[in-house]
Amino acid sequence: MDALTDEELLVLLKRGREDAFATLYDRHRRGLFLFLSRMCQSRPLAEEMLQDVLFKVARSAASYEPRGRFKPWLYRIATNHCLNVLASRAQRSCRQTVPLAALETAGDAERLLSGPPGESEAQGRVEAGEVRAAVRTALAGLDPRHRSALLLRELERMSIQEIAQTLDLPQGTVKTYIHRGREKLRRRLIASEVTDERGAVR
Amino acid sequence: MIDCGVFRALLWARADGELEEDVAGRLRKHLAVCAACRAEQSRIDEIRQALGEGPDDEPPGPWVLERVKARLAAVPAAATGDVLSPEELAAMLKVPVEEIYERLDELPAFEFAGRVRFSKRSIERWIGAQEDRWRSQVLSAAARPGRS
Repeated sequence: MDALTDEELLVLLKRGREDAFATLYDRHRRGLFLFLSRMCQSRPLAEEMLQDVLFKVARSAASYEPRGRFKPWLYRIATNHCLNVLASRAQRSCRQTVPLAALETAGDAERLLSGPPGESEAQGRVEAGEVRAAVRTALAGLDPRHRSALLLRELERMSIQEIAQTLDLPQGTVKTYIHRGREKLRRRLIASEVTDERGAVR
Repeated sequence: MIDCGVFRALLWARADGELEEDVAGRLRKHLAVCAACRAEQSRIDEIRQALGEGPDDEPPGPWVLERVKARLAAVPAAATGDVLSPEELAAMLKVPVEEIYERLDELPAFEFAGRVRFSKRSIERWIGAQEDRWRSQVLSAAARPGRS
């Protein structure tokens, strides 16, 4: 099983081989789960979506055409599912996103727990936590489509062409999405650096 | 001398591993003397690190696969073929079969040997289109200002 490519495994899955499904799962669960976690910023929701995506993969295996590559196909299913779930949740909660609020509180908690800055080690940890919080807050603020393009690039190291194929978008659009996403993350990071410096003056 | 703007544009390209060796060399030399560009580089590193896998991102264990298998086993065999009869489509959409016959003109159907059949792929695409339509209806209804 291990010697087979993803595409060959999917053909086996298509013929009803369950062990092929398990091997595919082992190969992609780490990347897929990270992608889903970053898309929705909530572990329980990501776990739920992981199951939904795997279910859809198994059900859609029959319509998979062996000409295409497996990974864009997999992430296409994952992204579509994610965007649907996020859109319906956004409708329900009317812009009030719980994961984002939770993130900001998490940053506060981290700051409180580490106590007053003094020891350089503790300070380093707070800063790392703040950077992570700033980047992830900015990530949560991106349009979900921009976010998916950026994450496929950053986490899966997909080429622009593969991302275009996965998201069914022109390559130029993909480049724009990634560029805008990175720029927003960068600006949020710079803003947090400025706040840090102001805090340090006191 | 090339200004920093050019080098900054190259930093992401380098992070993506898409820089020619000679350009990468010039960028390295510039970074050695330019603190502002080094700060920019460390922002890119920080963004990368924040997006990447952390200790909280350990994927769930084998129980996920077991649950998915259980869900797959629970799906009625009716909807697993590539071509569906009206009865199978009714079971898949969880509506009485009469609804299917009544709304044949809305559905992607075909006739073969005097029988109505549906391609599962067309039905799935059709469902996707319905979802999009419904979503845009809900969204435009939500965007409309309330009458006073």
